[in-house]
Amino acid sequence: MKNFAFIPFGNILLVRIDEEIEDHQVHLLEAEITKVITSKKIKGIVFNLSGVEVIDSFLAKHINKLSSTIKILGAQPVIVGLSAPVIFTLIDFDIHFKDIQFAFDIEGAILKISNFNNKRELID
Amino acid sequence: MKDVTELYRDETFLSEIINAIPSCIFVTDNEHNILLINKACAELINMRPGECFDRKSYEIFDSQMCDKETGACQMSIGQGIINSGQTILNVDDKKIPIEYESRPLKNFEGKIVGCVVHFIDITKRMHEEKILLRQKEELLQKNEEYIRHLQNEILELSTPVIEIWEGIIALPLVGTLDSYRARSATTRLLESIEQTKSSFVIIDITGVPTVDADVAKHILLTVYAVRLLGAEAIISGLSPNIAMTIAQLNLNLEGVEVCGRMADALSSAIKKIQSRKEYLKSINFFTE
Repeated sequence: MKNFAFIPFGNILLVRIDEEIEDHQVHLLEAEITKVITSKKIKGIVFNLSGVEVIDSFLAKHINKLSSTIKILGAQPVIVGLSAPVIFTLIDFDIHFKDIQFAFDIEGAILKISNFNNKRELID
Repeated sequence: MKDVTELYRDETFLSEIINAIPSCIFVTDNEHNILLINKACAELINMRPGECFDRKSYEIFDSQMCDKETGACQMSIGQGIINSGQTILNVDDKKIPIEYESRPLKNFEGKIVGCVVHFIDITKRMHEEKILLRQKEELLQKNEEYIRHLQNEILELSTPVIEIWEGIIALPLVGTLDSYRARSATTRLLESIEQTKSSFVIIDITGVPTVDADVAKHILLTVYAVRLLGAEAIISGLSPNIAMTIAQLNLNLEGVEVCGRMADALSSAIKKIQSRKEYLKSINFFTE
């Protein structure tokens, strides 16, 4: 059984990740995401973590690595669905995310992704 | 010399006195035979004083006090010590709590010839003590609840979270911040953001004269937490003192919007919300 799911939404890819994702599944996820980004014109990846009750350093490390890859491929990773208790654990464990934007919902995620693209256009 | 009748009268008079005493008294010889017992004592074990004479004390008193080997009487007779304490006296099916004291009885040569045991029924006292204890506990519990209630009240008063605009909430902090208060403020703020789905948070610290290193770090941590939730935090009303603290601590304020006045922060947030709405309209995100 897969512990993640893809839902394409225009040029955005929604990814749901479950809590019990394992090592080999993360590699599978990475491979599939990179394949989708390169084959279609994907501008943003939205990770839905609302099904995750605790983000441990293992999951955080994988998300960070995945996000760097996504960023290099020219898309913006956004995390949605973090709840207050999850955030407290993240702060208590001193877990940081780099290169990632955060949003409440898809609407916020779309804003974050388009802001990113606007800035990029400005730099270009 | 007193004559025999006078002595006899003295003895009855003495036993009258002993019988008139409301607490229980009995005297035994070295073999635990009852030599003397008063009325109150016999009544307590549902007997008449006459029935008790020349019987063993451990036979008529079912209690640890009169135990043949380890009881208080035996200790007094064997070692000549004064024993006192509390124990249970079993009468039929009833358990009567008693407080006793046994003393060795010595003759004119100083030799121990028996023991005197004095005890009182403390059922009523125990009952009253129990009631008192319960009342005390109830009072303590009530007090504790009240104090907890007040503490919660103070905490809520000290960290108010207000929704000041559609999608904008404010956290005005007044007074000295300690790390406990800062933490509770963060908790309430995050909960409010989740409830109201606000996208902007204004943390106003105009009323905070000074912060220490921990609290300054905590404020920045709050900003980070707010960002993780998907909202954006604006800090307003930084006093020169706090600005100096943050600069001295080398804290990274990069990416954090800071406004001088709360009004500026509010107008900035409103502008951003409006431009976001326009953007969403322009890309035809929600076709209405």
